[in-house]
Amino acid sequence: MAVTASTTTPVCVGDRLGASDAYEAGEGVFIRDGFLFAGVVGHRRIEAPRPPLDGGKPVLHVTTRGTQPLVPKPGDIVTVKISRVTQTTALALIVCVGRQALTTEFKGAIRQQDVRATEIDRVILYDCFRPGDIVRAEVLSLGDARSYYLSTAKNELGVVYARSAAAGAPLVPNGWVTMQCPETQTVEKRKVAKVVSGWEDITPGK
Amino acid sequence: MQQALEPSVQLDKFPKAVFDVSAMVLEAGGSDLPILITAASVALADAGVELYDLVPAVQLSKQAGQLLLDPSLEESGAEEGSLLVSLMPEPNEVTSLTVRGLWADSEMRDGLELALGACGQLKAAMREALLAAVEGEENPEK
Repeated sequence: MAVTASTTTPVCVGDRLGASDAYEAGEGVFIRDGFLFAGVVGHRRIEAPRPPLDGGKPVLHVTTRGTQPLVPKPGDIVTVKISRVTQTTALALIVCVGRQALTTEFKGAIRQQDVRATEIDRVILYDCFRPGDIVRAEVLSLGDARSYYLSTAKNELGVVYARSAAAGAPLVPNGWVTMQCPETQTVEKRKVAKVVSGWEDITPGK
Repeated sequence: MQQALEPSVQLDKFPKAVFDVSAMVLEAGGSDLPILITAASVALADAGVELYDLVPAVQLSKQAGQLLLDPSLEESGAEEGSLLVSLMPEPNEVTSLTVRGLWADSEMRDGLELALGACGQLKAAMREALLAAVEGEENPEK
């Protein structure tokens, strides 16, 4: 983050930053007893209220210099790699959360009923995902002891990258449920994600 | 160490996650546990873990009517009682308190006052060190 030292002040954990009626709490900031405190060591940054919340309070963030330890939370958009596909679940490894790559991989599971929004009982998982596919999904919940529960039941969620079974070439999306191999022209079925542009189309699930 | 550090971590920001904090003592000169707690707290803050506050910790030794702050090995050996306090200075919450030996009420009061004051001073030093590290990242040529 390109913040110059002249516009931001370094703060430490536990530093009192302001009153909660003057500011909103952003990243790295928590509220106690009507005051905002820094939760991490970093630079204090004030952000003016965004257009939808015009007339609200400016947001106070503390930006850390490095990367913070990151754990998937319900509502996060994650990038996963499919490891196994069974009749009822597709098992995956969570590789990135949002824009940040993870240092440890977490296990996720996409259940049959969470693949798409319509006709959820007639989903054939092998026609949606294959092992090795890179999928964009949303974390539904913390799941069970083994894995997080993930969902691809939105237009912008689903397979973003897959390789052809025949030639191993990257598949080109052909619609909502098909992808085509550019070399052999074979059509393969997948639950395709309609990615508009980068990450701007994903609204935080808060 | 877990009891002292746990209240300082914003655990709800890390669901289904485990924090492993391990410490290796290279040289022991007395008053080891509070030093480990203090150092671990600084390490957590340096790693970017979301905390409520830093946790300075001090040990107090009671000998022949005197209160010794941060006792050395020999001083701990000759003590009648000891007091170990870990404190979160901002909310003024004690996260762990270990008392050994017999303490009269007035002695306990004096001891706690001394320990809490020392924790405040220690926090200032921890804070300076962490902020210096942030400055160091900003201006590597300094």
